[in-house]
Amino acid sequence: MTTASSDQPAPPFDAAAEQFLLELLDEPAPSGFEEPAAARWRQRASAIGADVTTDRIGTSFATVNRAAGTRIAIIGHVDEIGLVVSRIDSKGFLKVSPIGGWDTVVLPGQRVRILGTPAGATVIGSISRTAIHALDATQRAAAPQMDDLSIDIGVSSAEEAATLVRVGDPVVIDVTPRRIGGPASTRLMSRSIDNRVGAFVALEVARIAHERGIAAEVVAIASVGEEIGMGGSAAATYAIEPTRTCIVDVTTPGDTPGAADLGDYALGKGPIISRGSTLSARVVDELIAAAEAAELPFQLRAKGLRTATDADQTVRSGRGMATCLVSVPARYLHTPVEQVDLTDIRTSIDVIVAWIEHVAAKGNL
Amino acid sequence: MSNFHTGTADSGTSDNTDDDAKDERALPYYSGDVRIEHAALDFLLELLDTPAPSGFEEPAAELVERYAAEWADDIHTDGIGNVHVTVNRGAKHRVLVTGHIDEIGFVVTRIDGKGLLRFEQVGGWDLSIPPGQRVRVVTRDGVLVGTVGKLAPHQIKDRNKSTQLKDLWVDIGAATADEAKALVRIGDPIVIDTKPHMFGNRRIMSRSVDDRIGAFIALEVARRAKGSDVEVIALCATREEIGCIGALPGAYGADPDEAIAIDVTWTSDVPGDHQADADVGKGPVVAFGAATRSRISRELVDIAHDAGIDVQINASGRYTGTDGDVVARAGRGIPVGVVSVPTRYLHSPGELFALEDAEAGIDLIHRWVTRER
Repeated sequence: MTTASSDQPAPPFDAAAEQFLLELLDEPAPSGFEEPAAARWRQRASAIGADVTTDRIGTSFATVNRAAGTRIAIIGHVDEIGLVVSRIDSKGFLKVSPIGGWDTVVLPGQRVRILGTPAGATVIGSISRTAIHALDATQRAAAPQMDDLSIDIGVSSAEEAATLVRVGDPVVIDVTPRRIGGPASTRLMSRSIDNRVGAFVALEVARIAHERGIAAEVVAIASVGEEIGMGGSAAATYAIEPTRTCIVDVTTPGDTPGAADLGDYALGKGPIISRGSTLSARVVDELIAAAEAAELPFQLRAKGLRTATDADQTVRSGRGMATCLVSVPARYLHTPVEQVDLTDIRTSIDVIVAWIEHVAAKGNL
Repeated sequence: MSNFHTGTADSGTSDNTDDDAKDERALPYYSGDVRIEHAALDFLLELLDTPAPSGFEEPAAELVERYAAEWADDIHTDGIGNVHVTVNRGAKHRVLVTGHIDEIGFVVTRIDGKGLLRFEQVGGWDLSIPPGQRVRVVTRDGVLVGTVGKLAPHQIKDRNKSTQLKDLWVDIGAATADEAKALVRIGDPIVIDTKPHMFGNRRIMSRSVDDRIGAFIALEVARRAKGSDVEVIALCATREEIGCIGALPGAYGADPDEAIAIDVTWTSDVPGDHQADADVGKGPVVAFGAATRSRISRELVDIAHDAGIDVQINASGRYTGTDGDVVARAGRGIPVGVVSVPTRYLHSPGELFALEDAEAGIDLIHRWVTRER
């Protein structure tokens, strides 16, 4: 055990918040099967004193400062990419379909967790493709197709497999979130950073808004179905009609080998605030002004067409939702080793809180 | 018109089957009483000149608000910036007429080490058009002029290769990256720098005809309908060019009994395989097909016939590629018709239409809106 020296910067999060983040990341919750992560999120929401509700499709809401001012929605989708068991073959191997957009090269050789039988019980398995010895040169050069992959759960017959797993059971990669780097590092590696981090940010913003008694009704939302394009966020904003909506998601920076074309974006330089044709220029300008006034670091990005986030859904829900987008830079998205810097998560929260305070101070127009 | 849902572009039949009558007709052909002139014409030309790509429509929206403030009963802007201009609030029937105020353009995505602006397209461009154009970059401190740069022909090995976005940039005359970064932010919108030009025969050439002319017609229909027994909402919609985004919540919020979407359509009076059967100067184009309510299309044609207004017809087996497609499925579903102004050179800085077609369109839609029910 070491004693923190006084020249070390304060950790980005207190122990309770960081513990919650790690637990949230660890819960298996592919699109359509979000309940484990959603339940953990709601438990924390109750603990911080928010009013907690859900809608019919599984989206969770945590409301603070009800009717204290204009209503602002902060949305992070709680689902992640995963797989679903589509067939059990005659030898007890499982065939799977993708939930969300996988790069299939990352799948072979991974350990997986299946939420199996009885309902939700964890079954461990591994994803395999034909052994390299049996692949010809062409096959070796090609990315595997989903049909080439099987999950082995250590059984010897279809009957035995059926006692553990049913068709339709969801699957995630079996990895545990962990801090990486040296003693001063604030890097975190995990699956489901896309987008448990957004759901975490939303709830932290609500917690702080509540603690500070900011004169705005803040509704943190852990939405479902983003990774399959269904966008529970649109139903959520339709239901509560906020005057402003902030989508919190993750985005690939340009600071890894081969990614420089994505632009001069990096971990540790603060949230990436998007401008562009889908978003509300008025609200984005408010957000930028608040970040500048609070002297918080951020990175600007522009999108000529869609944002490929829930913002594309919320802008056209109901009577039209004025939407902005805050993205936490995260490397290796849609792999089990997504990487994020806790300071960027911290700054994202601070920027959004500064913006809400700015809106509240303006008299909630 | 967006190019996201291009339906079959093939043609219907022209409503003008009497070729002799067509040949004898001298310009101006439209003899009704709608005349776009004076303040209305000034407004239209200013609207065409205002830079407002999708997502950055506020300058056009503000201009609309100023123009409508003189006669509308109510003006409000919804969550994503659509402007709703209402007359005769509370009347028994409520009709939506909509045109979109956004246009195609570009947005700055990166300022490179030499101070050149890299950009993405907003909406659907033919990338053979931007190179060499003068542009306006709209910054928070004002409008900058620049040019779309690419390598000189001397530097290009394969000149037959089509232009890619990565081959283009905007040069604002900055000598260094720092100089450019002091002037421009990532996310600043860009439009082509052209002024609307009216020819002697009252044809107009401009950028952003798609679809400022539709929004203008919607507003003029509402203005003329003031005092009638129909509530008319002219919806100046946003974000059409990135996939018909704004009109969906706009129409949901307006909650009309029926609607007309007004846009522009490509024409057959140009060289080449034009995949159309509509000419500039021969009347507004009424859409028939799978996305529109055929009852409304028929009513429009019948009213035009009775009033002696020439119309043309087009047809699509799928989408119309206009906001009509999303208005139809807004809320509980809205019966919708689509009327288009025939316009040459869509999605270029030289979009060209005839003012007469717009006048005939206003007359036709106004008659339909205020028809006996």
